[in-house]
Amino acid sequence: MTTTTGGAVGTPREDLAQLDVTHSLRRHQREWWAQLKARTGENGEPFVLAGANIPHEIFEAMDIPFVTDVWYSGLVAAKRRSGHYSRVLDDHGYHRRLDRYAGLVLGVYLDEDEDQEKPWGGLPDPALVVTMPDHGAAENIAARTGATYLGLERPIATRPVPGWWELGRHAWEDLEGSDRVDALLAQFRELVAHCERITGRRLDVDRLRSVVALANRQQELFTEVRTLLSTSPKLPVRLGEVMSQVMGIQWHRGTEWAVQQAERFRDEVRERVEREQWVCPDERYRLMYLGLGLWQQLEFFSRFERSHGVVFARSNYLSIACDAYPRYGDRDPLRTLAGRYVTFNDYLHYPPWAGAWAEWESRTHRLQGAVQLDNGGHGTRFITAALETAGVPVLQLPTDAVDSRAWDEDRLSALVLRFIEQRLAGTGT
Amino acid sequence: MGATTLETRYGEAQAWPADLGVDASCVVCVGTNIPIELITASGFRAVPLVARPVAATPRADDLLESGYGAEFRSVLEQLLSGAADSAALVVFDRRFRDLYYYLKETVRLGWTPSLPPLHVFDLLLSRSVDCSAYNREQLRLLAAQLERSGGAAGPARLTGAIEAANAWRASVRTVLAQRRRGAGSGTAVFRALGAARVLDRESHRVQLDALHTVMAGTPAAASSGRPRIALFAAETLYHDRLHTAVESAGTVVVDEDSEWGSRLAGSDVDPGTDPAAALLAKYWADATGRELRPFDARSAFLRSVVDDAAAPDLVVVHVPPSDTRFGWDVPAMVRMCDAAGVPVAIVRSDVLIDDGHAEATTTVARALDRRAAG
Repeated sequence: MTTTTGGAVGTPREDLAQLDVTHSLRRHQREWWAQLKARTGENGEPFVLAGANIPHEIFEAMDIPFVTDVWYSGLVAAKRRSGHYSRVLDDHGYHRRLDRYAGLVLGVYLDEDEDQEKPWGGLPDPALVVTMPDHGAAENIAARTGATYLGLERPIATRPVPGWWELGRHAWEDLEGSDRVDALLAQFRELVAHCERITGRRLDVDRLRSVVALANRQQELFTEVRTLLSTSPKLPVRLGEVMSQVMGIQWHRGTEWAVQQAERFRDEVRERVEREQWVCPDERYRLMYLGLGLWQQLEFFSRFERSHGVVFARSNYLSIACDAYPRYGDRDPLRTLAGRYVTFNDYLHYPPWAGAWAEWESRTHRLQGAVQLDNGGHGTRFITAALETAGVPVLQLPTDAVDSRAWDEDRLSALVLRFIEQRLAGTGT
Repeated sequence: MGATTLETRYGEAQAWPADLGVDASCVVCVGTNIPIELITASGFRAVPLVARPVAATPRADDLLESGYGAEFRSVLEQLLSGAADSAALVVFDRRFRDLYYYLKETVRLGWTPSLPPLHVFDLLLSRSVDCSAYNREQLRLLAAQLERSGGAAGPARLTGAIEAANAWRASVRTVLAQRRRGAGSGTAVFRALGAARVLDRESHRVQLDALHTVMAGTPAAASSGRPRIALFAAETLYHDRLHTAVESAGTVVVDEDSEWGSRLAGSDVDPGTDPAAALLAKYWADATGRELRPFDARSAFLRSVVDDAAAPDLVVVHVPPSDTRFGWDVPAMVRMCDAAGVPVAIVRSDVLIDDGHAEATTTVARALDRRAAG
């Protein structure tokens, strides 16, 4: 790490590096993965590869083995294999500026290596690939593996409501507009039809209703975690741990295990708060991280604790779970899911939703600044403007979330340190 | 003569700073997947706002991340520079929804007080799901917005607008057929077609008919020995720089996958008994762009070109350094060409700058050399 003129300000609690629930999460993931491989391998059951913003609850309700593409990309990055699979993509004619976040999965499928050389033994060939249409690699995966590809289109939102997070849980039909929900619902029905075709089973709507209820319960528990993180005097859990836990659970939402794991997560965070166990006892600055998860470098978020008392207290991952996932009203659970997803991506990235949300979260979390991934994405300038206008300085972090070739440790650390010293000085506690 | 006049008008469409010459009788259209017939039937002049090759886009750069290419920057720069301020309305198609979102926000924040009302025509393009109810509502919403802006489209006016647009399309197609034969310069024809950005369609139709007469008497490319080229590009071909670079290698461009070139006309609108349904069917069927799914739909034009009995001698695929999406299709496009026995040259330079333009010419020349060498 680049040295700093700031000098050490405190001793981070290394003993708080890992949550105990990390072990139960990993154990479950291994068991789930082994079952998935067995079902899709020996048993020959159809497998679905799905994008992140897709109603996984349908697969859960129909008991279809599925994997979220970006989860696997994160796994590739965490295994420090993103450089290899990026080169595989290069070798097959996919140039470097194409999004690697979900694209790495295509690299894994294209790689000629034996499956055992791939992270967790590689992915099964899917029967169905389903994503939103802004995902360029997915169709190539389908073509490569002979799967059916389904690209879902989100209707454009023309009545933006900045305070969407206060309305969406119950008033989503009014918030989103029935015509838009109808349009996405028709596509979800098509997705269900595909699932019924590949499995030979019918969707049980009552079962889907139960799955959606479990998913909502899980997000309520996450909301309790967020409240603990935002209201406790200092940060009890590091951001990398929070992100890993939240998304590790999120990709299994709608299951009893996910609810139980979320409860264990909530309980452990609460226990740390009650015992006043802070990851950085000399916490001085609280920051927000904006953008896709730095799955290849989660430890980056704790790198500035010792030198400057900087903690990262908030990311999109937990907060979107609290504000955009829960949708209530179970008369037609498929419609409820359409209500969740019809503006989901816009909430994260586009004005006025994303900036207003980030600004509100900066207040509730008592943040002094933000670090935003600058990977050429969408809407970041407006998020920056919203935060800066509210007095929250923003640093753009020019790197890629998963491609290790874009990671320059010294340069990025220097940027953060300069930001801390020049823009946060005097704002901390 | 027709070609000269049209080229002059194309030059106006490329000029910077942009002067669209709009007033309150105009509706500015950003994107081509917008039912112009409904706008003209409402009594407005539909004015396309198309990107222009421009060196600097400082206002747009303030709002757009590095993932946006030159086309979006140029369009946004024009809108932020007041090019559409006097219009009655600005309508965006789905492809430009990011700019719609961003500009709505600039209005909300009070940064762009002089922008006219902004509207998005959100035609869903799904090939597997029937979205006609939503799309029909989009047409109704556009009609309602036009009415709020002072227009009114009765059934007779809409039918008349459709017939006039179909007549223009017929003229576009005759010129395209001549070019596909290899008559004249592909760049000149592309410019002639692109004059549609500044000419009203009736004037454009008259000029195109004159051009067609000239082209019909011009020898075909085959007799001149010039290789026939089809262009496929990551960005809308809002400029002729790729054409000039490719033709500088001694070729003639006979097709380009562009809504400002070979796909300018598309299919006719069948006025029939339900003009609204016919309008939607036409714009749904003729949609272009990266959002179109599946790949078979996006690549239908390439398929039609390489499978044609008069397939081009070379397909040129332009993947500029700014591309962040088109590249996902390129390997499959190359495979499609290979299967059809049509060679491919991939141009990766930025043709808007001189060095990149020259590099493109060299790339094409080398590909032709390889082809000649067998």
